[in-house]
Amino acid sequence: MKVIQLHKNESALIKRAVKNNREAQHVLFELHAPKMLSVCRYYLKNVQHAEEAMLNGFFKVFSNLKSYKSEGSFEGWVRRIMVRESISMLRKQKKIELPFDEIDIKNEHTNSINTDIEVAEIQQHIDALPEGYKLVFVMYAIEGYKHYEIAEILNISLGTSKSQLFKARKMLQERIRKSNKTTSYGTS
Amino acid sequence: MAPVNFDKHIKDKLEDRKLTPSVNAWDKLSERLEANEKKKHVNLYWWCGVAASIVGVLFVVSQLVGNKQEIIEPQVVKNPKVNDIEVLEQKPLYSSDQKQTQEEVVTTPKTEIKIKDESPVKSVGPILNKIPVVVSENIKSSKTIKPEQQLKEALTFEEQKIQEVVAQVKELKEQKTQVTDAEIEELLQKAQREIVFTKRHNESNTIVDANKLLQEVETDLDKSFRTKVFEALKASYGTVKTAVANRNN
Repeated sequence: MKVIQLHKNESALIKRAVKNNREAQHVLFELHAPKMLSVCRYYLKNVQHAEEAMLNGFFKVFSNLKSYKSEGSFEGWVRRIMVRESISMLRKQKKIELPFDEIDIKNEHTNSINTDIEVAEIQQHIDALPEGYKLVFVMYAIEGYKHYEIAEILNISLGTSKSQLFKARKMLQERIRKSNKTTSYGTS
Repeated sequence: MAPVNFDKHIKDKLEDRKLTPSVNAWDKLSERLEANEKKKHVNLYWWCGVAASIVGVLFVVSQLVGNKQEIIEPQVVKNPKVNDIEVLEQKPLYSSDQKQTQEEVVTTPKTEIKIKDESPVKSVGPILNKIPVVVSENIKSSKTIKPEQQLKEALTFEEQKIQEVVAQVKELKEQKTQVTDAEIEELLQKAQREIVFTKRHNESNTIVDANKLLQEVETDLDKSFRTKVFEALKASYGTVKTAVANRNN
């Protein structure tokens, strides 16, 4: 019931926000800004840069609200805009470097890790990855994009997207394993 | 710890995270949105202005084209028949002196110059007196005159004035031994005034004819009145000279 009511409320807010009602826009911002800032933070190490990308994203959301056709969730529509704004900011900073190398990933194994790792630590390990590895990993593993979608957005080949993901996973696992060993040595 | 899929584990951890924006984040966004809306309104007004000006220009052009078309259309106007021109009876136009002179000229019978049969000429004066003076009787009577006739009348009147001046010069010569240029000039100016006056009087009482106007222009292009007088004098002197020479022979 609460979900339905929230959905009805959000629909009413969106209708008012389309007519440039500033109060409705403010409410929508307050509802989705914390989540969207987190999304931008996946891609941008600097929190201020992440907030700038988030504000750019919301500006586009409210400027093009008429194009939202209620086909999917409003949050999903806003999230996709935030991802593109974050990538755009990385491009402006010229930090995206995606080497055109493809490796044989047929023998890739999915490794398990210790679940006690903190969110902040995970973010820290993701931040330490090269920009290209991080982008593909975040878009695939967290955002749920397919390889062909990643290839289209980043303007890379399908093979490059897959290889970048493989390398990102490998590096992350190494880092987390080392971090866990260090932690276990510390506690012991 | 049970092994968990690596990607799913990281996703689950990060998905629940929420980060609080800075305090003035909404203010920044609100200012940008307001500026953008104002820009849109200005653009809208600008485009409305452009559209209105285009409509105005098209309207003016259509009006001008419409007026031009009206002007270009041939105007069919039925010209009144100008064939018959009524000439009113001439009132006395000249001073008493001139009138008398005119009457004298009018009453002079029409005679032709017959060089051989003429009596011996003692002086130039009397012979010159016999130069025919064509009088247009039609001018005096109120009749309907055709434009060609009227043109002939006008020319004839001018010629008449020329002859009058010549006659007056001759008379002066008879009276005096020499005729000064000033006296001749005075006679010429008088005759010119009379001609102009007559023309204006006729114009005010007649319907303007295009052919008449053309003739007048052509007449103006012809030799001036003074030149005509001088040539008439010259011609008459030449005639007399010839007559005297033939007589002596």
